[in-house]
Amino acid sequence: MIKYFLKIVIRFLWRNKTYSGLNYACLTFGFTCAIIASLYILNIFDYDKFHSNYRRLYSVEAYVTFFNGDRFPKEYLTASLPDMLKKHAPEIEEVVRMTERSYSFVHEDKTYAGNGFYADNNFFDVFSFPVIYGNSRDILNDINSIVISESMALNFFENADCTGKILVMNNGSNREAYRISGIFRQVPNQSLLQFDFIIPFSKFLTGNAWALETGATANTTWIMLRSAADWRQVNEKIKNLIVNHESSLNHELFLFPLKDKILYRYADGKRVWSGMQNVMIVGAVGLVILLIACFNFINLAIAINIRRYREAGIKKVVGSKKAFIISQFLSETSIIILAGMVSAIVLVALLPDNFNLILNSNIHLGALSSKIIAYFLMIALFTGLISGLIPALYLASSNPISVLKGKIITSHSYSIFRQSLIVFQFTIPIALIICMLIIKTQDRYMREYDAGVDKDKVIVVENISEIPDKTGRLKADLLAIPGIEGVSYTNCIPTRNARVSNEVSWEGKDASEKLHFWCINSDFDYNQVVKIKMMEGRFFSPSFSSDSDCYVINDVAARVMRYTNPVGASLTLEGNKGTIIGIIKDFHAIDLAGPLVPVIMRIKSEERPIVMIRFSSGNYASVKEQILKVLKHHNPDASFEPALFQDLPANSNLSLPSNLIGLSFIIGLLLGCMGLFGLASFSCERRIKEIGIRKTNGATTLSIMGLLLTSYLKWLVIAFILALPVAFTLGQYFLSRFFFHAAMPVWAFLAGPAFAILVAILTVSFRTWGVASRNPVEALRYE
Amino acid sequence: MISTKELTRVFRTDEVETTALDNVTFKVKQGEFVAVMGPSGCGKSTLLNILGLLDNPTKGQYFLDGENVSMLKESQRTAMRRGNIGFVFQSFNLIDDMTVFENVELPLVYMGIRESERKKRVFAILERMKVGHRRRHFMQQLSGGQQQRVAIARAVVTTPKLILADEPTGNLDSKNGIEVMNLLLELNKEGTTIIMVTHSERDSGYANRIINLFDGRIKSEEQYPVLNYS
Repeated sequence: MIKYFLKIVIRFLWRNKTYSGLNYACLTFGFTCAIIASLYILNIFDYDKFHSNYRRLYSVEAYVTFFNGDRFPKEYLTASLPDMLKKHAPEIEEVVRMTERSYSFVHEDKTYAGNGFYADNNFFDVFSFPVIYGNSRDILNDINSIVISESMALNFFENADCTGKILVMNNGSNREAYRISGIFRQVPNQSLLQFDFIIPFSKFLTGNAWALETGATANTTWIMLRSAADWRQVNEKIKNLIVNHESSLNHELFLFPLKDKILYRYADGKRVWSGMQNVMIVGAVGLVILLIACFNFINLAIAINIRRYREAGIKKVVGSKKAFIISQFLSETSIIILAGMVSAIVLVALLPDNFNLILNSNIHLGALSSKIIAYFLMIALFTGLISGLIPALYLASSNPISVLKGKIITSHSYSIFRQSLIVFQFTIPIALIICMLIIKTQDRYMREYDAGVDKDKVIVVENISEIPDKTGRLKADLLAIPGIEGVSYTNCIPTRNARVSNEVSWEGKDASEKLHFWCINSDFDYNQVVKIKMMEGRFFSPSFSSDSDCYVINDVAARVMRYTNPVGASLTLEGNKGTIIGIIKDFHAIDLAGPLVPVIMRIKSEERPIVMIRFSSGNYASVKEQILKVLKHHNPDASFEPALFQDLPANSNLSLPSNLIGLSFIIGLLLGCMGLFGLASFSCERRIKEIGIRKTNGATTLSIMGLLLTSYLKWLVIAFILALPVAFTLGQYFLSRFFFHAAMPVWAFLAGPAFAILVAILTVSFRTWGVASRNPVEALRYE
Repeated sequence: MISTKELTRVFRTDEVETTALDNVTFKVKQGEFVAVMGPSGCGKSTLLNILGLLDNPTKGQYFLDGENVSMLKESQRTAMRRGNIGFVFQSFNLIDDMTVFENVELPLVYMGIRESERKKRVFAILERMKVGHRRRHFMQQLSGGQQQRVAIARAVVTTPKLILADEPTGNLDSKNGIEVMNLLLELNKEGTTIIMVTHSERDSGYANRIINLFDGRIKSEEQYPVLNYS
């Protein structure tokens, strides 16, 4: 019996290739997207789970209140925290301090540039990064020891077991030798902490005693709680530790769980999305595509199966039970669903490696848990049941007499249900395209926003501190490159943040005020590279020898200081008193998501790890090549990556979400159009006689097309109307996240839907043209 | 074999009530060939549907092989129909997506007969209906006469006691019509009871009894000698 059914089912699918093919393609597409989305989400939720103490690990951070009342989390705190923490919260078992650095290392003729940490010697006890050579308990005890990754070891030596060997680190003008005390296995992709080497934290402290000051922004601090400890109680105990120690610091400590570190960040005292944003976008996109695909399937399946009233009627007359008819329809839909599911799994398994690179993920089928598989089976079951059961139940309970009399089922073909599905299918892509256009508008607004820098003509090189340019030789060599018109050392690339300090005082400052200022260390040439708008006074100039003790502030800082005539007033930054010589305006130290912040600029020859180079002529590639040549000349061992300012990844990266939404719009529209094409085919077939009669009575091809298209246009217009408020609400929420944002693009609400509807209408027209232009005699004969 | 008593079927809509059958009482013996005649709308097909257990009467009783089947539930009617009653329709009512073989095999499948037995029976009946060579073809590839032979093959493959034919030659040319009627006659001679609705005087000539219906009532019954057109 099963064999018989299977044969009939496969025959039906084969003989209705358009229907089967469309449904199979839609479902495969939908399942593939949904599986990828699930794997991506799983990939993010699986971050750091390899640590055996995963649930006991917390980062100690502080809320800091800024000039406008906003509260932001601060990760880098004083190095003196461990003693304070352990003294006041015995629930804390271990404390690890870490501070990140990028260095290049040399051994004989080989170099390696990588990122790593200065970390306390219990680092490998707290975090579960397997040490493959060396004893994890004492490998960081020697101040001149270094623990390196397996790949770094293999870069220098033939064998990964290279403990005892010496590596030389380029640290500016210093070259420091380190003895390799251990090798750790490559850090997994799903680790928040990514590093190539670990150097004892004590080494960091020897050269940075300031890090122990209570207000220092020195390092991150991680703690491991005892097994039974309640982190909320610890939170209460540590909350005011820094304030109690130094009342002028408005730091409020709190614990941030490692498990949430990849998902959330804290802003204004609230938990806001970080990686969770991608989880939500990818999850929503995956779900929406799956729903569109399933609804498409349901719609097409109902459309074709409802037409099979005659077949069902005949089967009933010759003795078929209802159950047979139901199981037949269910088998047909199940086979397509199964084929779609299997194909999707195969497609995901065949995903190229590049895919993971693009998504910065580690998607692989092995990550699918039984829970996720169960979800998918449930979705498949639901789709199969709805698409197979609705027509099956209807046909199985229909009266065979009406069927045999040739009464076509017109009164009830679940048309409202099916039309609702179509409306839903198009509401989603229309809302998506509007949202995408809003994001793109904001993206373009941010790219084109005048942040005071000509982005096309500025090259940025980071980690330049490996060439301490004490004599000015490097700058002179860079300026000697034809086409280069300005070179400036700094710690601040506009819109990409700078160091924040609260050790600022001025005349008339209220002692209780605990305000933070963005401090830019630079040189006399900064305004040549960054076209700073002077509001009052002047910028630093080498003509004035006293300028190295002066400050330039922005209008926001002047307002915060409540200076009516700030130029000439005095200001003390981190103990250095100086005079304000100029006021700048419209300078964005942080990106456009945040407000204009108070900025203090000073001439400082240290802590300027970035060089910004303005070029006026020559193409970027050749200028870049010459810059690299100069840099290599000054430090052959270091590696540098010059990049155009405009190519730097923005902090508020809008490309990924807008591209994801754009992609889901295309997929959604494609699936919707495939479904619409299928439905149009069925509808045309059903109305073929009517069309023939109308044409015989004088209707033109265009009027017939108009007649057929009107019904689809009606659904699309309803979808458009429904999509408008959804897209508007989402768009408004999105734009409100940016302090500086574009106006709501009204054109997006017209152009986006118009495009989607045009594509849908063209799809349907393709099918209706074929029927409408047919010779009416043929149509009538066919019927 | 068949006995009806005051069989009545009323169709109701919101506005109209139509009495298709009005107190119809008659009997059909095992092995009879009965033709039901009458003008359009007189209730012929309604009577056939009730006799074929596709529909229930509104009132009255219907005894099939002595069992009162007038008020059975649909599932009971289906079970009773399966293997006992064969249908032949004017428009053949064959399934387009199935081959000749599969169409004929269908009632046997629902009876739960094993595949080897099904094959044997279907091959035999197709040969008898002279469409064995067309067993792998689909309906669109057959002539009207061939399609009706397939429909008859499907009706008799379960060796039913009763065949109900609704205008079996209505869609056929005269040559094919005669061939179909001869097949039915042959089956009748082998003992199968046949009740046939027809407009055709010629076809009714194959029957040994004619029931004339008018406005849902039996107007007259005539007994005729069997003619042989072959």
